[in-house]
Amino acid sequence: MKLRYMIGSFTLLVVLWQLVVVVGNYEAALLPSPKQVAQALWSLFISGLLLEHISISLYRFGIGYILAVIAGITLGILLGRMPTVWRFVNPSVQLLRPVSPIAWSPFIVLFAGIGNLPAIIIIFIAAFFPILLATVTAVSKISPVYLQIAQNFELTPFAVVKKIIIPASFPAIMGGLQIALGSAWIFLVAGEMVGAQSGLGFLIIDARNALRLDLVFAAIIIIGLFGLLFNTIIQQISYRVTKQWGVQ
Amino acid sequence: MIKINGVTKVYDTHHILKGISLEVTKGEIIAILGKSGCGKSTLLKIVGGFETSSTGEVIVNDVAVTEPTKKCIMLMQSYGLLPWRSVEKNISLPLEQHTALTVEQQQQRIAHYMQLVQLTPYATHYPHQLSGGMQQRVAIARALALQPEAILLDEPFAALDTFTRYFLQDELIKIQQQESTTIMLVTHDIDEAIYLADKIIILAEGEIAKEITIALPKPRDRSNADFQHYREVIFTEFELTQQQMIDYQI
Ligand SMILES: Nc1ncnc2c1ncn2[C@@H]1O[C@H](COP(=O)(O)OP(=O)(O)OP(=O)(O)O)[C@@H](O)[C@H]1O
Ligand SMILES: [Mg+2]
Repeated sequence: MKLRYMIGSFTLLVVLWQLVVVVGNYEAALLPSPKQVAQALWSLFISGLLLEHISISLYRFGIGYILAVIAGITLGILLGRMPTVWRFVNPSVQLLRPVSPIAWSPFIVLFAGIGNLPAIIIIFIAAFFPILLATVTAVSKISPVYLQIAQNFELTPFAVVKKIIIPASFPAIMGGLQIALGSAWIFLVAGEMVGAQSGLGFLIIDARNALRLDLVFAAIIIIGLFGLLFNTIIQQISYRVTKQWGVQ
Repeated sequence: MIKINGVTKVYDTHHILKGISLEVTKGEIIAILGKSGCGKSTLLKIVGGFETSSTGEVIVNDVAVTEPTKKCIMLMQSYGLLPWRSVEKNISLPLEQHTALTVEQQQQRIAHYMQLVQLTPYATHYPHQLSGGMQQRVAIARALALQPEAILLDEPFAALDTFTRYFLQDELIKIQQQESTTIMLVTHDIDEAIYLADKIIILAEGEIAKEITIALPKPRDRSNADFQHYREVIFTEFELTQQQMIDYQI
């Protein structure tokens, strides 16, 4: 995304928002103006609350996502190399995958209580399936030529995984990581609405309860900005990798 | 040394190979010629251990072949370079875990083989940045770096243009003379077979129809009368007519 398009697009969004506020003549408590939201953001920032919520959210997100990456890629490689086992596992995965992680929240709260853990588990679930599926697909589609070479050179099983399977499937796994990142970030907010007393999701619930829609908006903007940032970073990584690999 | 003892191959009820026996001595270049579908690739895969024979056996250095080993390196039609590794890293792949070489000795060996295929300036390039002929040379260097007993080439230059093909044929002869690697080569190209091989095996109907020893010093001259003589021998073997020989500009 080019910076000037980004700035142009955001400006347009703010102008539209302002227009709706002016034309609709809504009450400030119902639809806060950009200026009021900016003030709310500033006050959150000054009080230190904003950074506090952001850091706890990033912490939960980081743990949940990284665990999902490790679990998803490891299992994905194993299952991708065992097509028969995968044929048995796949239907259950397809059954569980479309279930929103939030649907599990009653169980999660029951077993994990409140605090960081429920949010982490929900983020994990949201990120796990896209990574698992992308990895299995990528690994099972590795060109047999590479595996023949590994056989011909008598690479050890460990070297085959490290030097052939992981790099050969990496560009495709990258795609799964990107989808998972987006979906996990979406469910961060939901996760923090379920069992947390802090974080950006909690901030939204808390502000709503206090009827402070300007704060709700402020939190939404921060969540959106971080989502955008993550996506840009992972896209850059993915771009570099595929460029070096020479794949399209 | 490679010994092929009465190798047969049956697919379903189709007898592809009907008892092939052949000895390849160390440092020899053997070319296998034959019409499309006669089982040339199948034979090469059996020698490489990528395919099992129905009966008979292949013995490399007194050991029967049951699976691919680093003693015989097969060069894939698609070159089989790893796109995520640079030229030097591709060549280092087989060395990294096998030989009792120190890192320094590995580096030396990689440098030696890069030099041999004239790709030293491209050490840090990635395969997609190279032409087809260059990729083929990387694959050859990678195979040679392991210093295998033999390398198996299935139509190695078929996808390349004439100039590159001639260039690589000369390269292959030069490399082979330096390294005295045994080479088994499958080709469609009669001239290529005469130009490169010490011995030509003509496969037909699943059997060795003829073995022709090419007693010409290398590098060979394609316009030489003896070269022409071998062409005629092979053409006769394939029962090509005088007219076809004219069409082929022989
Ligand atoms: N996996 C297989 N299953 C069944 N038949 C096969 C298989 N592989 C090869 N064949 C058959 O074996 C025969 C020989 O195949 P092969 O690839 O060895 O021929 P070739 O001499 O290399 O031909 P070309 O010059 O076209 O490459 C062909 O008739 C082919 O249809
Ligand atoms: Mg073939």
